[in-house]
Amino acid sequence: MRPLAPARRAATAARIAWRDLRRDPRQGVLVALLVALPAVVLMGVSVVSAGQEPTDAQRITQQLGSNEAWVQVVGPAGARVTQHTDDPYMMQVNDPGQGAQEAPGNVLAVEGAAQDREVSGLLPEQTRTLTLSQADVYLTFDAADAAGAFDAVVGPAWDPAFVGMYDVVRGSAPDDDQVMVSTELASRWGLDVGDVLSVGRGGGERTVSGVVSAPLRAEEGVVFGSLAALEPGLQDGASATGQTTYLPDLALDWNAVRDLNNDGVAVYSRSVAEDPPQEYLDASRALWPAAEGEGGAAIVGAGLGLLEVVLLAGAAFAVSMRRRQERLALLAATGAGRGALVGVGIWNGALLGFAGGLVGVPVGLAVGAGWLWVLDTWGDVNTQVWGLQVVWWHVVAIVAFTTAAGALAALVPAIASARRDVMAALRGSRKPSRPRRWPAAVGGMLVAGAAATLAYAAHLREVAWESAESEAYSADSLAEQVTLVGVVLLFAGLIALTPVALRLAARVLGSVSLGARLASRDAARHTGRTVPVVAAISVTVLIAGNVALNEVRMVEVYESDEYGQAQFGDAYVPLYTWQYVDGLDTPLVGDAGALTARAREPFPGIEAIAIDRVQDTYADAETVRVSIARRPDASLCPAWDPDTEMYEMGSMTKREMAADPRCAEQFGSEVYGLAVGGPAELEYILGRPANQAEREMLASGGAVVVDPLLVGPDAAAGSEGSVHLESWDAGGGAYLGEGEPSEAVDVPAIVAEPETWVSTYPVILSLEAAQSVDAEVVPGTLFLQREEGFTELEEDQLEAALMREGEFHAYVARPIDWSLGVITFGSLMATLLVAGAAAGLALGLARADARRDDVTLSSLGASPRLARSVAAWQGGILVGFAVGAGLACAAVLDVVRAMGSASPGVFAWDVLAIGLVMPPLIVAGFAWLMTRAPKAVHYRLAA
Amino acid sequence: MSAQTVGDGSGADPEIVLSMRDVSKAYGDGDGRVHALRRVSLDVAAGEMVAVMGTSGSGKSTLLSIAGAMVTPDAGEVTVAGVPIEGASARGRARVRRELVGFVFQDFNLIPALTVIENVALPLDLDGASRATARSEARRALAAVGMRERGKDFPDDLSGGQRQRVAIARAMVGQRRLVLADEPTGALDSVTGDRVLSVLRSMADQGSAVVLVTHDARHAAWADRIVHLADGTILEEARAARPEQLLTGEPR
Repeated sequence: MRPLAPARRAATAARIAWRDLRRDPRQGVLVALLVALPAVVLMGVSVVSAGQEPTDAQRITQQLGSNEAWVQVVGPAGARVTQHTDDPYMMQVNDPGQGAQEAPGNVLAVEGAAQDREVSGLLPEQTRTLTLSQADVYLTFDAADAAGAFDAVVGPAWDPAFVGMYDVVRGSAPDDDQVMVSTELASRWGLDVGDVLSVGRGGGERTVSGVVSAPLRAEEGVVFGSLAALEPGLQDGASATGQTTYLPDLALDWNAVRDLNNDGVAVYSRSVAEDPPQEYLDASRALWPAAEGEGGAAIVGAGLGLLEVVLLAGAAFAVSMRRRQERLALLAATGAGRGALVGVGIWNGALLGFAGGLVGVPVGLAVGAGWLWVLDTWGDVNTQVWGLQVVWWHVVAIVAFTTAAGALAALVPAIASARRDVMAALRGSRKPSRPRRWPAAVGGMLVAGAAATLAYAAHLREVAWESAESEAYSADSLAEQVTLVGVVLLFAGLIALTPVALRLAARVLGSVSLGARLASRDAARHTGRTVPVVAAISVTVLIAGNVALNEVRMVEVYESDEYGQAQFGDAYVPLYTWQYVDGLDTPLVGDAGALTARAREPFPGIEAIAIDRVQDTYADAETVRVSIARRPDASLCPAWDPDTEMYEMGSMTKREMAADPRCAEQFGSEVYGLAVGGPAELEYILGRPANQAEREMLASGGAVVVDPLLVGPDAAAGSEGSVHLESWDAGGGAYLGEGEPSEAVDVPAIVAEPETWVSTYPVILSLEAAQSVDAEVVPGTLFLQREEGFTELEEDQLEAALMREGEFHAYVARPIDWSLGVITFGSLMATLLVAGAAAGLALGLARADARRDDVTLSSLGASPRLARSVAAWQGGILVGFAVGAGLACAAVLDVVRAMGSASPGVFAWDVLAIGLVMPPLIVAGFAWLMTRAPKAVHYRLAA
Repeated sequence: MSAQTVGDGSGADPEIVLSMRDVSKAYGDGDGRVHALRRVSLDVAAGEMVAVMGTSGSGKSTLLSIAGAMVTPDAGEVTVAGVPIEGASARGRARVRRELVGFVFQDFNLIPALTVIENVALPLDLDGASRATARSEARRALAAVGMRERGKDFPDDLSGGQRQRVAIARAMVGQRRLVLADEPTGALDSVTGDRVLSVLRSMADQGSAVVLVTHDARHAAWADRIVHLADGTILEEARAARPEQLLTGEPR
């Protein structure tokens, strides 16, 4: 063989592929579009994610404005500080005396005594500095009747060095009797330049001089002003903390930064950020290994995308190659070997993939830019858009990805084409390949292997259940990996068995109707295009199905335990609170009647209920008597060690812990939050009408408890018994947790099951019961109800109204927003999209394959409905099989994984059933609607 | 050009199954407009087999398409067994194809996903016949073409001649009044082709009107009449010589 022969053959194959495409570009449009789709998605994701990350220059401006550096003392002298390059507030402080402390995102966590060190002492003399501090400030805006506590940036009124960090978008810098507000706060309260705010209570009026855009704190309501302007409203001890010292003129090089870092000082320096030395980068990378996880997720996502594209484009290629069979056969007849024919196919795929990438990248760029605009215009406060940025290596990678995807997609069809009988191909024979037995045999073996693997995983879960914590962890960890392997085997097995299943379906559906017969036979005979489509849909269904099942499980578990500090939608006002006066917490007891009257000023229809409680914390120097309820020893988890106040690991297995209600979410025997009241208070706390037994219990001087363990280990809803109450009088030398209580009584009690529980109060005592233990009864909480609930502004307005009565704050109880729902919704939508697109592709390819049959049927007088019926059955069959396989794998994954959780019983059969039935029906419906009856074209045109 | 009508000239009055009067059809627009048929008239009676001959592009296939209610003429009148085609809805034309017309194609046009018996029973299935009736008729038609034993096979399992016989069986079921055969022997060897033509001949003899499009004068000899088409018009019409006449040189 001549040495350059392979290269020349490859060049010839490339030339033929190129000419083939140029001669008939339409043949490749479908493949190119299929490959372009992920390119659009990948480029869009690249643009959107890059657009939400600042560039290095933007990050530096965001951190420094036009300053040269900032410094913060975060540790004692000699402590070593390591900071992250992307987020300098993410740092680790190694104090030789105390070991490492992490301070992600907020230096206040480690400031302590270190804050007392003077920054100026660490810098050259005469260095110009600008110092900003953080604080919480209480503000009132009378025009909107709103009030609330907000973050404050306390410091010099303004300096040009801050441009970029804080930009005055309206108005001007403040004087000492003025403040600036962030755009978010301005928007929340409808503030503008010239409006007057009150700082603190009676602390003085401050005019809003400007509205500030602060990219670093875009999501927050922030007020900016000098210490003099804001001091009357400072919340925590009239001082600002978290000082950051900005250096407008002093540039710090790496050596200076390193020296400061090694002396307990965090630094962000312009010159170092612009050109970070390797030492800095290495230390930074070690700080945040989580980034590797994100990279892994990106690789998995790209891998799945590649798989789906290869499957779908492969199906399109299978049909395309069949239609070009004659041309390939001509090549073979003129001496081209199989390798050359495969080469033509692969080059064809690579060229189409490349073309798809070239189309997809600009489209993705436009889509990403559009999405960024949407985020910028309508996005919530958490989305910040930094502008359109194109990461060029992403572009190159995406085009390389699509080129590889195209080549891979063409590989199998090209090999199949190269193996065809040349003479048969030249004669134009349409004979489909005979079904081979090996995929069924392999599929059977894979499913059997999956069953064995999953059984082993289940066994490992069982082992974990029967083990104590540490052994359980390793068994669970191994079970997780084995489960994933089992599901992958199961998936592969089901896909390999798809041809067999399609043949069985064809046998069953053959007698249903002509449409069903034609559709099912077609699907069973053309596995080259049906199986990849089934695989592409089912892999998406597997992922989305598992996400949905997992979320349903989580939401059901969490929602069943989700209670607020008031009934959801209601506002609550703690009545026994503290005010910081002269360095001391001073009790502030609210008058429920007066506060309700205040609340009714802005909200006349408001309903109120005030609940008293027993004093249960040493809140201030004057509180000497606290009272609690105590679970009996028999109600404590056997693994709980009262001496160490910790669980003894290894003393109980996971199963025992999970099965024993005494070990669920409780620590120790003390129970706080004893409400005092009658049936009205009880009904509010339980969120339902009180029954006769509960009313009688309170009327007879007893208690109602929500936690059955307070009565005994075997108590349940409706059980009657007694609850143990204790009072500890510090004046008499009895401190809670030390020695014996001053008073201890058992009062009759009944266990009540709440409908929607106000979790602040697990015990409701009658006044007699509270008095029996000599408890100090104090005002507890004022609950305010309004039929339409409270918006955020109304919450602030309520706060403002209450504040006129004193330092009382209103909070609205809102259920947790399950953001996971977005992921599930997104994955379900993606599934429908993939299923729809893949089914559309399959139907399109099937119609292309069956064009001649359509005309034959038309010539025989087939009704136009037949084509619709065939398409609907075809879509339904393919999506039905795909969804069945995907959901089967998802369900198995969910069930086996749940074996190791506390909620194995929660399984979303309804989600599964809907997922199984709806997609095939939807796709079949669309296929019916979208299919046009073939015109009675001249029959020879169909040949 | 004047209208041309071709009759059987026998003087008898057999039932006319296919009647075409002044039928014209053109494709394309402007300079690219091609007149496939120009005012063609043709009657085919029950029991008659007519061969249509002509060069490529002469209009044979268009004539067959219009006769088979697949294409509507631009002008003229067409009836199949008395049912007018021109102006009929797509549904109405489909019904004509389903109930009155049987097609036999050069490339057989069997549905590869259906078995032989399912292919043959297809017109009856489409017509809403019961499964048992359709199967029984299909078996009878297959028996008539000597293919009864191959009912469960798929078309891919058959030779070309066998496939064409299946296609003819499909055209036979349901007592079609008009059978249109477009070069039915084009893909077959001569022996097999003769066997297929004999089946078509027997269909005509049993009362169907058969229109056979062919290039081959020897095959045209199986017909009662031969119609020559050129440039969309009928050039001449003649009684066909029987094969034995061709062999002996006996005048038609």
